Amino acid sequence: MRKFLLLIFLGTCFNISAQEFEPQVEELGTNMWLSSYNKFRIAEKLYWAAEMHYRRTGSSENPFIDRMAQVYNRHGLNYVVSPNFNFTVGGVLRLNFTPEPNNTEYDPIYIEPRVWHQYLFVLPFPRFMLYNRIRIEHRWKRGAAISNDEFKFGNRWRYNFYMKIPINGTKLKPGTFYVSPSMELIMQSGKNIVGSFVEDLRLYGNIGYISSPRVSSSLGVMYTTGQDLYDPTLYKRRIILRLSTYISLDFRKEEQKIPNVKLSD
Amino acid sequence: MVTHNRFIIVLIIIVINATLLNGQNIQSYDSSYTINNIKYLAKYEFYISGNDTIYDGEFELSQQFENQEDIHEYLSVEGSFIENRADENWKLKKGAFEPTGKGYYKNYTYSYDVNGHEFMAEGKFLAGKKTGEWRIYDWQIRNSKITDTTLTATINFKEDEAQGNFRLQINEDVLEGELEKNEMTKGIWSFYRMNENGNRKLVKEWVFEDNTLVAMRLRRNDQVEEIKIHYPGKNDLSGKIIPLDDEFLEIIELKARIFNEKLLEKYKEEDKISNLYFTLLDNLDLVDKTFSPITKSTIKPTISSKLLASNIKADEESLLKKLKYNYEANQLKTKTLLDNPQINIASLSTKKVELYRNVLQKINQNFLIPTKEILSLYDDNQLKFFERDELIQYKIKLTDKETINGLINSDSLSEDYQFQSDLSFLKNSTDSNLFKLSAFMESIEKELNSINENLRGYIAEIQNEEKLVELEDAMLVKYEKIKTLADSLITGEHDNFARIDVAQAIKDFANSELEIYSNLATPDDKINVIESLITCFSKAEELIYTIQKSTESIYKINEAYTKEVFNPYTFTNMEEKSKPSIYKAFNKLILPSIFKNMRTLNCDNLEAYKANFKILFDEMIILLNESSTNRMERKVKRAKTAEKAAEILEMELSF
Repeated sequence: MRKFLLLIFLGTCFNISAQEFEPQVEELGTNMWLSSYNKFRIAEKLYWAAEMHYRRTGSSENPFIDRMAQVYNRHGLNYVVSPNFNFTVGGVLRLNFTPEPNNTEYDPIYIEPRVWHQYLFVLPFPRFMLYNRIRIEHRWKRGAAISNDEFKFGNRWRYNFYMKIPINGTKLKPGTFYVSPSMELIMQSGKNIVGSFVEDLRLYGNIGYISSPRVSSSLGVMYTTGQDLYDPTLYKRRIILRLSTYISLDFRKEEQKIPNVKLSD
Repeated sequence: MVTHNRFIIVLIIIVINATLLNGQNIQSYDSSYTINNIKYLAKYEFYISGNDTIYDGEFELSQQFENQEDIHEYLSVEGSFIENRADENWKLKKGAFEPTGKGYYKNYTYSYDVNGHEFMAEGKFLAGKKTGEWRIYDWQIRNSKITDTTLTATINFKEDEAQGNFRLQINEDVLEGELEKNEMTKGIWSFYRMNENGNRKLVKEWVFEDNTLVAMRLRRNDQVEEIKIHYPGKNDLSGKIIPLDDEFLEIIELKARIFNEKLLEKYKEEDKISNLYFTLLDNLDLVDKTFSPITKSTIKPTISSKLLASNIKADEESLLKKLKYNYEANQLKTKTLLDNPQINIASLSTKKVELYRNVLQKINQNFLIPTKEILSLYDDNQLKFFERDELIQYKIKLTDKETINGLINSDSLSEDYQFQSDLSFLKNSTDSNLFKLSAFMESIEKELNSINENLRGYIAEIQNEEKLVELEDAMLVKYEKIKTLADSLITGEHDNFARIDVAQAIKDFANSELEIYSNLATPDDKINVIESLITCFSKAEELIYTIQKSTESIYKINEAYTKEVFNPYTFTNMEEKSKPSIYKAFNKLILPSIFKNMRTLNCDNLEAYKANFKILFDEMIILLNESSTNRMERKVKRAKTAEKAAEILEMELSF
């Protein structure tokens, strides 16, 4: 299984490099994402996944944090089939903020709803964990212009390969620092997609800390690049600073989980 | 005519009687004959009357056999009966011989000379009664000839009783005496010794007056010493008949000693008169053994004598009973003390115990044994033959306290010992010696009680010392065991929990307690604490076992407080502590502290420190299962010391 996924990943890279264009590269943009990932256990194998991103975009004068970019709410029901496989189904409500705040033709905030489902394959190794995530999003997207833009349906095909490698130990457990390299390719399709199939390629590295089984956090830098929707030869580029927290709470009814222990001396 | 008729009648009667006598049909018997399960050859004449065999005529009995040592033994009896009554001469021969030399042919027979000895008794019966002189001999035979007469005795009988003179000679010793009616002693019994020339020399005499032995005379070098048997002038004495046997001689011996101790000792070697007397009786017994089943008569006389006696009076009876009671109690006490192995062993090492043991032996030897002898005379009904005051004075010198002390102080060991009880009554001349002895026996009882008390004190002291040695051995075993257990059962794992060297702390405790014990000044101090120290060390052993098993409990608590939580980001299970602040207080503060207690361990806090482990582990489980611990958890987070944490968590621990 792990070898199979590795072949897909390498094959994808080859295809990307095989598309020979005269690419143009946009100036490197900067973003900052503050993310809160939450999972609430509601049954033995069922979690309510709730993510919220607070995203800002930078400018030349004020890199990373200049203005609001998106607020992003992703919810879903995550069913953990086994420790090696789980899937999630849910919806996303993304609030996009106008790219030009002073432009009255643009909506200051407009929504982008999505339906999404993802499939996560977990490969445990003795000293690290390896994850392959396939996420498919069905979204209704429109531009910021008030009058012209209409919602257009499209699909996103995301494949994310990432690892979590403990630094100060061999296991991911409370008190562990880990490093997590990640690569995600996001493809898109839809009626309005002409040539710009590669929406984003995200290369992300972060260092995380597991403070408890319920709370972790990470800090990292992500480089992304992808085709412009309207000009496939134009590649956008961004450096994104990401600070994320991962919270997991058990909402199940409290029950006696601790067996009685008989002590004798 | 009448005379003629009478003659004819007498003649007819005689004829008829003669006819009847012929009708008795005298028969002869010549075959084996069994007496007392011994088979003899017998030859005799008899007739049958009804169902009875009536001996009448000659009687011969003989026996000859070869014993296991190839010695020929023989016995023969010759005599005669008239209508079953021994009559006329009877002779008994009894001997043993073995052939000697090569033998010779004579009168168509091959014969040998013999060596051996022969005993012979002969005498006369008259109508079944012994009469006249009876003679007894014992000869040594060499080459079929009498070479030596080792025993010659003659004794006269009258009307079946020994009466008149008797004489006995065994080798060179001769006893001559006289008996009168009823076989009573009479006159003077003399003991001679024959010299090589056949002259005899008087050595000793028993003097009987009115059948009563009144004196014994000893002769040496023409000097005559008279041994008194009684004090003269006693009016309440009366002659009592007593068989002249061993008992009689013992009484005479004692009576003689009471008055003539030194004299009797001087002539002790001459005192063979009783031996001769009894040899005579033994030989007569030998004759009777064979004769009496046949002759229905015994040769051995029942010789009696008289002794002066004074009956025991009522007050004497009372004193004797009291004396006996006290004697038995004292004798038992003395025996118990002398047989006590602890006293015997202690006497080897402790001078005082040796002294008391020696005094006990002297009391037994000088007072109790003589008292026992006096009481034996009383029990055997012989005390009446003795003058009691003299007897008691002879047995025990009841003069005064100094005399009593003198008897006890007769050796260097007990030379300083003083009789504790008041013995002033000994000087009271109006009291009888029996009264004094009875009172003295009570004094001995007090003395024995005092000695017993003293000995018990010494023994208790010795026992304490022995006990201390035993207890110290036991304590040292415990001490060594603590060290061994600490080294073997307490490991580095415990040290990790405790953050100290736990085994060393416990060994230091044992060393410290042992040092405190060793520094105690006296055995009494030590005996007071050693048992509690042993108990303490025993508890220390239990503590070590508790500590050894504590790891198991610690791991159980760790496990109980640990739950696995599935992390939905890493998709791995992670461990998480329940009630982490409580667990942290347990793990970081309280547990190390109760281990660190071992550094201040002593016998007083040991039990509490041992209990800490159980209390802590039990409380931790209770807290885990308790739902409302939120407030406690918040408070315990701020606790800096184990004492504070234990207080917050409501654990009654000792630090």
